[in-house]
Amino acid sequence: MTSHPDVEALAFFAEELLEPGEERTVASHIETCATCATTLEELTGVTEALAAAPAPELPRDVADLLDRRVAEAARERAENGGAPGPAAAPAASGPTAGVTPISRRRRGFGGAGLPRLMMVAAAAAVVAGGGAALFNGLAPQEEAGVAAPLLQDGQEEAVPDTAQAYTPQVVRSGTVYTGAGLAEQAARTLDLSPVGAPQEDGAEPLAAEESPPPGVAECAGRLGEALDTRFSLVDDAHYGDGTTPAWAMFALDGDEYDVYVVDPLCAQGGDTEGSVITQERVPEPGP
Amino acid sequence: MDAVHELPDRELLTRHAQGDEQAFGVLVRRHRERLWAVAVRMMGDPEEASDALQDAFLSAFRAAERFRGESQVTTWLHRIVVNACHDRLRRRKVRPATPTEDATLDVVANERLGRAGGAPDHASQTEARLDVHAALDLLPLDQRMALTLVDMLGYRVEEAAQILDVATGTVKSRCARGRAKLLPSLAHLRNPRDPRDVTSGRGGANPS
Repeated sequence: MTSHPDVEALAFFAEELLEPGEERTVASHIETCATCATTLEELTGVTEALAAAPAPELPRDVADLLDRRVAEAARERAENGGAPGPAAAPAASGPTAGVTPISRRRRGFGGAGLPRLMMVAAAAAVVAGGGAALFNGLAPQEEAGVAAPLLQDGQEEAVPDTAQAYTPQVVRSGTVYTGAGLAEQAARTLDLSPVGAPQEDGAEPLAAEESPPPGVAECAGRLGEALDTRFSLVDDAHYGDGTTPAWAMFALDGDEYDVYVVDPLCAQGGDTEGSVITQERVPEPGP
Repeated sequence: MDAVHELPDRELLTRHAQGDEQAFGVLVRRHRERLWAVAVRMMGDPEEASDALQDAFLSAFRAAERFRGESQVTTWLHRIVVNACHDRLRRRKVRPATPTEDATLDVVANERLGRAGGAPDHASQTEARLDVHAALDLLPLDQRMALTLVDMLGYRVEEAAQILDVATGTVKSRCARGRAKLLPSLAHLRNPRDPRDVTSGRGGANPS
């Protein structure tokens, strides 16, 4: 008898996701292996257990609360002249006591997320210098709002570990990043950006911004320092519903990119890591 | 007022974007039960679901004028709710786990029972919910969200793909991976009569 396929292979088999060859192997295995046939049934059982999980009806008080908050928002908007003006603060900082305060997010990130990031960052520092140099080479004109000294021709590669000699490239992809779609969206942005494969005369779908938003370099520098990594690319974009401005910051780590979606408030100092809205890792785009 | 209540979703959204003060409320009341079901199953906790739903509706309120009609309004609302849940789950995930997590779950379970009136026949239901959500907590978020939509809530793979803004194949593979990971912790919920079979099946299919 062939060796048992693992549970994941069986789950893929059930979804008809296996390659034809593998599918045939698993199919013939199941015919003769009662154990794996049982496991396959149990996988259906997982779906059943999930479907059977009880969920409470919408409580009356929650329904009322939603009504109230929407009515409040409508009233505020009307008072501000019908347009969602500066009062359109991120929902998470809304006035209702039930909503998670921002400070909880900060504590959480600094508490658990950071040590892991610190560990991988040691490896990142070596590689990221090259990435940064590449971006700087492509966007040497990018000085507006940048506190760090500009790179001198030919010197940046010699000193990849000098934190000051580094400015991320800024693009505007027009992406509205979301928590759920971040991995794919970030990969798309990377694909459109001149990373990984330096092409001297190739077309670059995303041009470097000549007027990056103020504070973006400071924010990238400060967050890079806090996480012990270097951001080589920043996408000046939006997050969530499309009304929340956010900077997606990319740092090369090995053959993957760490992507941080950061609240531009980051530029005003304070709790730098607390301005991170969400984070993801994506592979470096191929040549 | 009556006329407003009969308008299609899209028209309500347009009116809202034009400054109508009632339109968005009508939209919320029309879809809140369904979206609550999504949020409460995603979050596994009524209070967090309530917070996520507030976030989501206020986001949608502000983003309405950016809705370009490329998807159904319901899909768009689902996406916003799912993203609000994702953000909260993500923050929850990076919070340091306390060593007394099991004890906390017990306390939470008791509190819930107390709040629900403490009827003893609710106990097994509550336990099942805690089991399922404790198990879901072990999954990567993308698998958890796909499974919540497809297996828990019964959305078609195509619908889940639209909501999550990924390919249908991605939804399927996330579900498959998630089910495989959940098998050890959830098999007993479905088949409590014959635990021996469950054990032998799991052991045999996953040799070490």
